[in-house]
Amino acid sequence: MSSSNRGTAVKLKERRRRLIRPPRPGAPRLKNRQRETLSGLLFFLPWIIGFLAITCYPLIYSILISFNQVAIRPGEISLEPMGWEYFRQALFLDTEFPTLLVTSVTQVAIGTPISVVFALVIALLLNRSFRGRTAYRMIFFLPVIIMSGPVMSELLTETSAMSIDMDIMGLSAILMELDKGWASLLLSILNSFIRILWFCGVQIIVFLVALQKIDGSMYEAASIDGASPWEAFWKITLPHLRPIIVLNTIYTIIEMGTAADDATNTKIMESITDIARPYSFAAAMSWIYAFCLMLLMTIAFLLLRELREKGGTKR
Amino acid sequence: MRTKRRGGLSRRGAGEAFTRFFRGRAGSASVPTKFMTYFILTGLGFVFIYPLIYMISVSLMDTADLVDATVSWVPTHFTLEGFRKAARTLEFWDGLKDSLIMTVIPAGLQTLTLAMAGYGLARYPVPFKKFWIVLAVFIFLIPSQVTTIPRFLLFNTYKLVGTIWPMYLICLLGQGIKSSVFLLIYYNYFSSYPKAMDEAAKIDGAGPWKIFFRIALPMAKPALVLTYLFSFIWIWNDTTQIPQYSTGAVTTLPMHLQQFVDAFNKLYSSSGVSTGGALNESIRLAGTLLSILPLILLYIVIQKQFVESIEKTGITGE
Repeated sequence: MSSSNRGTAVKLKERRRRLIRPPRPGAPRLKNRQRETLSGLLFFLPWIIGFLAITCYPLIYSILISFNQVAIRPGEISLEPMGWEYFRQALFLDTEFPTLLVTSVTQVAIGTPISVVFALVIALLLNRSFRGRTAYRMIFFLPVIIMSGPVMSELLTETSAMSIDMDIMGLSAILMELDKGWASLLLSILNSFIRILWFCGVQIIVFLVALQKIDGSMYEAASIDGASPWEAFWKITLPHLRPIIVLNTIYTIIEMGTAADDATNTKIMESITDIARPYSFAAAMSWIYAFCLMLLMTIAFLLLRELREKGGTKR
Repeated sequence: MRTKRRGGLSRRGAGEAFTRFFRGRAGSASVPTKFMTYFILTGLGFVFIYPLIYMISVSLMDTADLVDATVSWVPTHFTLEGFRKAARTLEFWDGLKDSLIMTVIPAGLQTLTLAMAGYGLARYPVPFKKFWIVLAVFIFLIPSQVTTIPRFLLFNTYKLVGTIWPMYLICLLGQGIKSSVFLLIYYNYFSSYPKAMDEAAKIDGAGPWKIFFRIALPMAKPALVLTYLFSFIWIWNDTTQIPQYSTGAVTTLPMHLQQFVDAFNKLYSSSGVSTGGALNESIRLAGTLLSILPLILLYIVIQKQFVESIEKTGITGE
């Protein structure tokens, strides 16, 4: 199968070589390039239109109101320019926001690598063939369904449903035998770990799909050349997954950062209806938060690039 | 994690099992490896399946069980009454119809538009490529609550509020919920498949659209299925945008559920965590289960597609 494929590919390459005339410098090539750009833009056009028509205006509007005071009078909404006032209030005057911001950003910064690594490990395990694989894939898909929409809020109202009741597992009884301080610390670590796990759902599936794409014969070739499986994982699997890891890292940062139960987001949502400064203060805070997340993303991106250069397995 | 380390220490011994672990093509893995797999997956999976078990268990209880503190997991009186009542309160079939109207086609539209956008970005010299990608990430970063109200005003001026079309429009133009992540997935997918196929088709005289539909799309089937599935779920579960734009035209299952819960909370909120709340619980959780049931079914039907489609097309990335 693959050899016949390769055969046709070679044939096609020869045919192309015959068809393509020796390159002439100047006009025709440029024209070709322009045509390419044009068809690319055509493919991309709906998205640009969508951005300009639906997303751009709300985006600009939310930037605008963070610099203005919104006054709602019957029949109209007026804006009075306030400059950086709300940003100043959020960062230097508000008693809660800076602390909440630091907490949230730390949580995301710690949670993201854990979440991505676990998603990768789970995806690697699910990618193997074993009895009951379909059932397990079903279970690990559940967070995708549950994390979005009303189910999540339904479960959050149940104090016991979201985080596993430690009493049932007898864990808290064991932990209480330990020193009080240590026990509560361990429990809180366990709880936040479970919360982090809930953010793995989408990433597991994305990893799983990407793993399917890796050609099995590469591993055979590697093992014939004497590579240990350990090396094969670092030299074949990881480099193949690297773009997906970047993607999943970005996704995790955003997903965790915009989670509804995140402390900063709760504060932002509460401030939307702040009577003295409706919308504006909330908008300013969410832009500050977004900026922090952007910073985290840049750091993650640079770190992952660093890894690739160290690994030296650039494709 | 642990398996990794173990493999790293004794390379020779655990070598073969280890190969299988990372390649996922095990014929018959060794017993410890197998045990390890089950152990890790069951342990982590328990976290996810726990709420589901909880919901199923509570939704099957009758009123006596709900208030009885000695009954915690297995109902002593099995009853489907909770489900029957939930189906009636949710107006299940109407809700299902409305939910399907809002999801089946919009999810498809979004899948196609974003595939095109990702393909255009990955395969053609689109100007400001980096800028568009950063912009997509940036849009993703802004919580949807911030943009919902201005968007509502926008649709209001277009006179589309109260119809089903805002969601269709949003999806047709690839601006749906978390759509940026799909754009990135497609970009990544189309960047990595063999260019030789495109070139061959071009030489045979196929235009850009024909290449896209005949060659690029079939090869990106896993990404397409993934996008459709996730779009479907996220639109289905959406309770911020659809109620804002389309109230009056449709009432989806999650909207019914939310109304029901809100109404009940209003009735019983004065008495705090009341018995009324507890009595209601089996109906509420049954309703929650009913509202996600179609999604679980969809996943069961669809999941084989993105796992096996690669093997069927027989073409993998270079």
